[in-house]
This record gives sequence, C-alpha cells and structure tokens, in this order.
Amino acid sequence: MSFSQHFPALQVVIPLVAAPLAVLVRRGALAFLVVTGAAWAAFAIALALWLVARDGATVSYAIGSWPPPWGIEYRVDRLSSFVLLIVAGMAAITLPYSRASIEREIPQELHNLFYAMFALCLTGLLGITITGDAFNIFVFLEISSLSTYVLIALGRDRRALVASYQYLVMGTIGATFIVIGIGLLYLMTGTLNLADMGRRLGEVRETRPVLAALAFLTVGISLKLRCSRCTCGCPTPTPMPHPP
Amino acid sequence: MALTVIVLTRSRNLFTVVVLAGVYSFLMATALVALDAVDVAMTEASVGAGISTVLLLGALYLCKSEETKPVRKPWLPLAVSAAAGALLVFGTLGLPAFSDPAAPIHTHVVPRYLNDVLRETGVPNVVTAVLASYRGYDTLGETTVVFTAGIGVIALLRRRRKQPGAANKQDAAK
Amino acid sequence: MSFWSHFSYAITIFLMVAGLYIVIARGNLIKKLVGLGVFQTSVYMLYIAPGKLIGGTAPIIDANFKVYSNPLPHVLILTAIVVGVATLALGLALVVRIREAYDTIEEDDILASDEGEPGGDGQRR
Repeated sequence: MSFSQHFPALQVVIPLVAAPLAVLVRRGALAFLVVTGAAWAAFAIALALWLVARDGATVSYAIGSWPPPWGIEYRVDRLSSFVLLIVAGMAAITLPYSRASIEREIPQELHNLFYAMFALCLTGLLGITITGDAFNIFVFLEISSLSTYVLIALGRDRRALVASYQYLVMGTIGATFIVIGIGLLYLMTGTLNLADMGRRLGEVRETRPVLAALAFLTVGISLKLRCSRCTCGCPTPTPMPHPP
Repeated sequence: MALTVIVLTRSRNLFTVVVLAGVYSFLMATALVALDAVDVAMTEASVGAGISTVLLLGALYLCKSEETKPVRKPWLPLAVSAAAGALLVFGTLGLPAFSDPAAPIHTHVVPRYLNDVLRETGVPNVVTAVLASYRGYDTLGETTVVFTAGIGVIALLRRRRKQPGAANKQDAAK
Repeated sequence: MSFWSHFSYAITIFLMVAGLYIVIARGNLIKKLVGLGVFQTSVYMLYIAPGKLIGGTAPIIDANFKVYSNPLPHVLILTAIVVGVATLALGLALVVRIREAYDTIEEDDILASDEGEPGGDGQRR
C-alpha cells in the first residue's frame, strides 16, 4: 500500500481535520495558518488526482475496504477530478487574500470559528464531488450548506441574519426534495452506489417513479443552487440582503 | 397523527405548537416500531421528541410565544405544496406494493448484509453493523454535520453568553 | 394494486403537503421551523415503509427468525434524523439573533422594518 493510494480519502479528510484544529487553537492567526495549509494540501492532492485521471483512468477507493455496492465508494474520473481541482484551487487562492477583509468584517473572537466554517464548507464541496454514493452526497451537501448559512450570518449587517434564515429554509426544502428523489431511485433500483444505480436504471427507465425522482432532484438541486451560488468559494461573508 | 398535524397547522399559540410537535414525534416513533424500525423509533423518540422540544422551548423562552399575524393569502402556498404532493402521488403509484418481497430493495444489496453480517462484523444487530461498519463513513459525515451546527450556534450566540437559554442550547446541540 | 398497498405512501404525501404548507404560508419564524420538521419527517415514512415485510421482524439476527425487514433504509434515516435536528438547532439560533436585532419574529414585520433602511430595497420571498 503506497501513500498515494489514499489520496481520494485524504482529499476530504484533510480539510475535515483542519476544522476542529482551527477551533482548538483559538487564535485567529493560527487558525488562518491551519486552514490555509489544509486548503493548499487539498489543492496539491487534487492536482495529483487530476494528473492520474486526466487520461480517462478512474480511481476507485472503497472506504473501509467494503466493496462498492455494499460500502461507500469514492470515484475520481476525468470530470470529477477537474471539479475537485477547481474547488480546491479556488479555496487555496482566495483564502490568503481574505485575511484583510475578514479582519474588517468579523469580531476578533470569532475568527477561528470563521476559518473552521470555511474548512467545513470546503470539506462538504469536495465530498459532494468525489463521492460515488447517493446518500453520501446528501450528507456532504448538508455539511457544506450548514456551514454556508453560518458564514452568511456572521456578517455585520443585521439583514444578513434574515438572508441566512431564508437560505436555511429554502436550502432545507431543497435538500429534502433531493432526499425524496434519491429515495425513489433507491426504491426502484435497490442500490445507492451511483455507478451501480446507473447500470440498473436501464431496466426501469421511463417508469413513473424514476421520472418523478428526476423531477424532485431537479427542483431540489435548483433550490440549492439558488442558495449557494453566491457564497461558494466566496471568502468574505458578504451580507446578501435578498436571494439572487 | 394526521389529526395532530391539522391542529398544528391551525394553532397560533407557539407553546401549543411545540407540544403538538412533540406529540407528533412520539406518534411517528410508534408508527416506526410497527414498521419494525426499532432503532429509528428509539432515535426519533429521543431526538425528535426530546432534544427538538427542548431546543424549541429554549428558543420560545427567548422569544415571545404568540403568533400575532393571521395567515396571509393561503391559496398560493396551498397550490405549491399540493403540486409537490401530486408529483409524489404520480411517482409512488408506480412503486412496488407494500411488503412485496420481490421489490428491488429486498433483492439487490441487502441479502449480503443479512446473510454475512455475523461472519463479517460479529454484530447481530444489522442496523448497527451497517451504520458503523459498511456505511461508517456516512456516520462520520453525520457527526460532522452536528459539529458544524454546534460551532455555528456558538459562533452566532457567543456575544450574549450571559443569558441562560444560550448555554442550554449549545449543550443540547453537541 | 389495491388502495391499501400504497396506503403508506398516502400518509407520506399528506404529511409532506402539510409541512410544506406551514413553511410557506406561516409568517412566524419558529412555526416555519416546526413545519420544516414535519416536512422532513414525511421522508422517514417514504424510506422506512417499503422496507417492512409482513411476517418479518426487526433486523437483529437470531436463529428463531427467518424473515427480516430491510435494514438499509433504517441506517439512512438515522442519519437523516440527526441532520434534521442539527438544522433545527442552527435555525433556532438564527431566530434568536433575529429577535435581538429586530425585536420581532414575524416575517412581515422584519420586511417592513428593513424597507426604511438605505439599500433595503424590499426583500423578495
């Protein structure tokens, strides 16, 4: 087992571990260093994965060594490796420049919590991209969206609170729609692994539950997009008075 | 359960709403026991009826407990939710019937869990085995969600630590 | 296909419509969160009910039983319950802060008090 085999897991786990560390160190500047380091490490791993998957090779990583339809699988193919590269790259590049605006926007004692939230948001986004399991997507979606709500609400403007509340309500409705869609697909195919589901969907294509699942997923993802498109990768918690 | 929800929709006193939500959670837990989901029922009774009610009461203590405004135009929301419901009706009519052993969820992935769980993990409770071993990563994610919410609550309420309700909420959220 | 074969789905749909209605129609922020909870709970039924086999028992392996209900949906819903409570806690924290900033938890009053401010150009829902 060489070290590079574990890159798919490390991709998500490094920012995930950085978040509690950032909370524990308590000093804003130290937390900044921890999270920035984690973001650059994630970027380096994404780069390595992209170099592997660029020629069409698919990296599959079975979490806990359970084979895919039973356990959870991480899958890095050409598309997802590219998205990983973009997400991690944006976080790594914007984070150093965000220091000044965060000093201005957020009270001193909340700095380490802000950076922890940023790391969690990054974890969620990377996890959504890399995972090959339908329900795992929902879990990571919730990590990234809960942290995004907090990032929005930390702004000084009081309207940021209301905006964040509205994002929370809309986002939760969207996430629940996504769960309904995943549930319908699961009831029709009996599996949660995306690749396996794709194979088995061929047999039940054009049935009513599958069409309804498609509709629920579309509505849910649209609601989520509406919520998150202004905040993902945005380093400052800009108070957004109304949904875009 | 349906009756509880209807009263919940009509009621304007927030205290009534919170208590009814707890009643609803317990009824849901009972229904889950009838459906053989004992682990889920236990979680729903403790988390849904217990922690949620404590959190809601804590928030009520900090806010006022009467809903002052009457309902605004109820037709548009009703239409939206009815449309979503109709879509779900459309979808569910094509699903396998209740308790059909030939349905895909019973034939595809699950037999391995049920047949091999003792040999592979040594845990007789299949739900525990799947939760902690086969799909342990989901559980890590779930813990992270709770961590996120806990940190978020702390971040939002830190500046007003003197009031008792806030500390109460932070403990419960952990 | 009889009426009873899809009865559990009917319950799910009723709960979902009711929850969604509370979320959209009610102006009180706490009541909206309760509605959101009902809406999320409806999904539990959607997942758990199809996993039941008549004559089966809870999925705990024992030599006396042959038929078990499906354990996988139970696992997923355990995760979903905890996620739901985390969302509720965060939402309530936001409501408490909103109450401090605006001194009200009615949506209409909040919108009204924002309109007087520079840049507060009337929020859309």
